[in-house]
Amino acid sequence: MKELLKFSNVKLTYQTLTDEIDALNNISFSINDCEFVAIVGPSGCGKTTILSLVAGLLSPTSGEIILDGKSPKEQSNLIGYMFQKDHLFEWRNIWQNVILGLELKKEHKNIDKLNKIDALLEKYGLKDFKKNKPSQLSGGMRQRVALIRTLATNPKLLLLDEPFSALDFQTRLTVCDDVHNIIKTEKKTALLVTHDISEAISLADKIIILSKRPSTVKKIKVLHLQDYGSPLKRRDAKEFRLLFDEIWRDIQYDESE
Amino acid sequence: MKANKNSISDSLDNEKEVLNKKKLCCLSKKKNLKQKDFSKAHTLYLKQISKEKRIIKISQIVILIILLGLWELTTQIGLLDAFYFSSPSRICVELGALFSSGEIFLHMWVTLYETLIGFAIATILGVFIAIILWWSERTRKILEPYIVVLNSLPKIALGPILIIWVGSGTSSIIAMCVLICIVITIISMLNSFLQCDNDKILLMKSMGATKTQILLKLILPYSIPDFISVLKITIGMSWIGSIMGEYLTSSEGLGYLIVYGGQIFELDLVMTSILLLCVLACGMYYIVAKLEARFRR
Repeated sequence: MKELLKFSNVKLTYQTLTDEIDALNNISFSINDCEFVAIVGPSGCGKTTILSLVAGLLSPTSGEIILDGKSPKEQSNLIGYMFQKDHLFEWRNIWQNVILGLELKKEHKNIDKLNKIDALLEKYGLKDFKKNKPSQLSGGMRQRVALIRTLATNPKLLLLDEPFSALDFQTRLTVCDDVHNIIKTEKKTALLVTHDISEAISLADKIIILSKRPSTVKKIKVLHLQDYGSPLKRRDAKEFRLLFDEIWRDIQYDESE
Repeated sequence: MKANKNSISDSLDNEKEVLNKKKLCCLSKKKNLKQKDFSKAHTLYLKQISKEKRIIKISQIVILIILLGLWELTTQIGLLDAFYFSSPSRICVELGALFSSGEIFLHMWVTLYETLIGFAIATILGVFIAIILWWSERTRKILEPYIVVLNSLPKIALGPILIIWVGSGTSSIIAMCVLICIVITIISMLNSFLQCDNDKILLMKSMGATKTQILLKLILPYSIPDFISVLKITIGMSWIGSIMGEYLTSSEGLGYLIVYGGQIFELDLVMTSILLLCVLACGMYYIVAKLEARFRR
């Protein structure tokens, strides 16, 4: 499998007025094409910082990040970012929201790409809501629209920053299934940041466990739950509990240290 | 045994059917009841609301009539001197005279014109400056103390300087209007721009947006509701600006009429001008409020 993203010995230091904060310390890992990778770790360990680095919004203090052969700053076309909140623009209808990325790249008159988005909306049950305003949609639907907006520019790597944590538990499980299904069908690579261990286990092919700040990679756990199917079904796997305990202990042990 | 089983299942089926029927019955009953209940309570509720509305409207009108009546009565019986206090009937006579001579239209037009031009310039310039300050954080930080001083300064104090710099009459009145409105426009709009969710900006950036695109596609549309609230405030302030300006230097306009009437002790003229001013200002506020309702929809 082709390697899409590689972190080698990445270090990041924040400067503040009173202090120098080492957020990341010698982070190394790699992600292959079409892999779904989750990053978990104690709160405030710099999970989101890693996403910002991949998106090219920050530069590492030292070390190297290679995204599909180049540095992330030159590869902004390859990245799609999804946030905790859907951040749909209330003044635009659903259709105008999903074509935002194309509009920014001045490709919103490209019929091929527009047709592709149309197909996505139809495939994932949002076709009838094109003319609706975001406020008329449920939380789960809004998050699906946000994902399609992200997919509209055809990125290779999706960065998911706790995309489900703003939803209530019921919706969360179904949206989780939806999103996983969409990402796998569209053959995208995903890097998910979450504090929810069970979410990470149910979604990911590989889990990167970070230690507390300054964060290092504590463990990389490759999961083999793919055969169980959807995230919801993976939660029923007999290994699920064991994995949960193991990862929970890894994080907990670190915090009590 | 088998027959028994059958009969059991039969009876079970029967029971099910009966249950289903009961359920349906229950449901339909509930529905009916609910609807009846609902509509009864609902009509009562609606009645109460319209009653409350009527009470408020009637009270408002009654208060107005009482106030005007008291005013008229006290001046009629000589408790108040109509020379100093004018009276509703005298205002009506004055209104008739002013409108029949047609002169009042000029005064109303002049004040309206000054107010609208001042308001428009302040709004356009103010938003433009706010955009510049949003664009460059350094400029914003450098200019901050100046804006604070300008904001706290009573702009009327600059009146004499304005007259010397831009000349007496309409131009300095418009300048006064602009001065009064522009600072609040800049500060409010800048605040609104800066309040935009950082993650939304990050989202735009991650999609490769330029700063101009962030401004045009995110910041400006995001700020439209705030913009309309600012308009509601500045429209009132621009009336202050134009009337203040006319107090300082003018030979026409409603502000001029008020000052002139005061100087020659013609209180009927003063009161009538204030009344007309009220009507104009309310009209303009109403237009902005309508605009707001449209955008908030």
